[in-house]
Amino acid sequence: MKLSNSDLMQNSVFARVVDRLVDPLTGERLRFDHDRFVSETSSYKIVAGVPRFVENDTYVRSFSMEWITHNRTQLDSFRGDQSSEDQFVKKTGFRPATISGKLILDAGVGAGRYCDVVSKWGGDVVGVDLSYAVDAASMTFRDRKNVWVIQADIANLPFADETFDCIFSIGVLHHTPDTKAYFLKLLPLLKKGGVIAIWVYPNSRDYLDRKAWVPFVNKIPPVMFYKWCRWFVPYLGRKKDSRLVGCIAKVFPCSQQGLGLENDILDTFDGLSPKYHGVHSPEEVREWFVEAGLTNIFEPSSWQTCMQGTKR
Amino acid sequence: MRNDLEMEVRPGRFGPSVLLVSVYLIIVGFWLVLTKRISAPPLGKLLKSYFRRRYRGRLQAYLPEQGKCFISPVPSELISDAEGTSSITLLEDGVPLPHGHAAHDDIRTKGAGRYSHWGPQVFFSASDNSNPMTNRKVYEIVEL
Repeated sequence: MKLSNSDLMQNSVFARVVDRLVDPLTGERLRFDHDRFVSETSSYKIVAGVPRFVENDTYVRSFSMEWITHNRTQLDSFRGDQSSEDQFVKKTGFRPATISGKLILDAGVGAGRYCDVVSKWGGDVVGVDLSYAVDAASMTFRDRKNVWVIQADIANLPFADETFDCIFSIGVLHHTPDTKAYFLKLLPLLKKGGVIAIWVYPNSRDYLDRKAWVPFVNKIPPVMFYKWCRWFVPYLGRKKDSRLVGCIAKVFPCSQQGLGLENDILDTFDGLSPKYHGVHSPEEVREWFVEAGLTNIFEPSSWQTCMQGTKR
Repeated sequence: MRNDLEMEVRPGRFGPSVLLVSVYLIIVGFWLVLTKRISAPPLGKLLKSYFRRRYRGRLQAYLPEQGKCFISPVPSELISDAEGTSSITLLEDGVPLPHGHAAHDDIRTKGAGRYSHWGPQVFFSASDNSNPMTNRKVYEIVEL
């Protein structure tokens, strides 16, 4: 089933942002023209109900593959638990009262793990992703009128300044070419008094080890590496008492999050296949917030490198 | 929903492509360990751990560290969390304590059976936060 463009017209988030849309390249006002958005100089197609502000998924093909394949693995609505909601609260400090009725930007929506939480809390969410994960998210949320998904680069988003009440980006910015620069690009989109919360990879041992592996693993074609993960992660689970497997586990960073086998396969693939894998200290992240002139800066939990701040 | 980007979700099988990726990753793994680019244990220690008998032994001496935390020496050939991932389980009167690989601050402040194998020592707390020097409980480590 594909989404039609008439679905777009019934979306309450679209109705809320349609007057705030601008050409991501020139900043000119965008006009909705039934099957595309047009400015004086450019035109952006809407395909399967998803506006496309980029030509393709450039450097995030591995994410396109993993989220289309695992479009439900981490979503509370399909898991029947609150694992993503718990993580969302810890990493952002947001609560339903902070979110309800507000216009929210999910920068790096993926399959919609946290978008799912925010929309259930009553927020109007714009989910943005550079990858074709938007197709998975758009299908998942096709019946939720408070979610609108677009494909765009978070460094060049098609929104006028001061559009959003809240912005969050969890586990995304470190997969861009420059974590800090991409964080700073989000800030103009936040209204005065609006709140931004991010979580990026910490510079702890696990993540530093993965950083050493990534340049080698991301040379493997994603389909081959995914097949390998599908074989290796269950094998590791079955043979965890084996000496050999014990030795391998001390060297190879394999995910074991306690959220089920499919999640561990997904997370092992996710952690080692991207092109970019930045790691940052909590002090460094705080410094970005200070440099950006944000106030009320704090770490919502002891989860390293999560930070929240308010725009003056 | 299915398109050309969707990958097959079925039990993994050991085929040619899995073998090829495994060989490649083994080579990369050896190189990362030898050049110390990852926090894995030294290769010699890793190989020895594969061939020697699994360790099991009683903790002999306890020293108070801070708060609810006590320390006790363990054999240095065991791979600890300081250089990789420790494979030991700490038993209290034969029952595994619940929280291995715990943060040292949590062991000191929360206790309740948290422990960490770090270097040639184990940092631990009793399950009831009592003093292991006087509580008459037996503490043993078992390498898995």
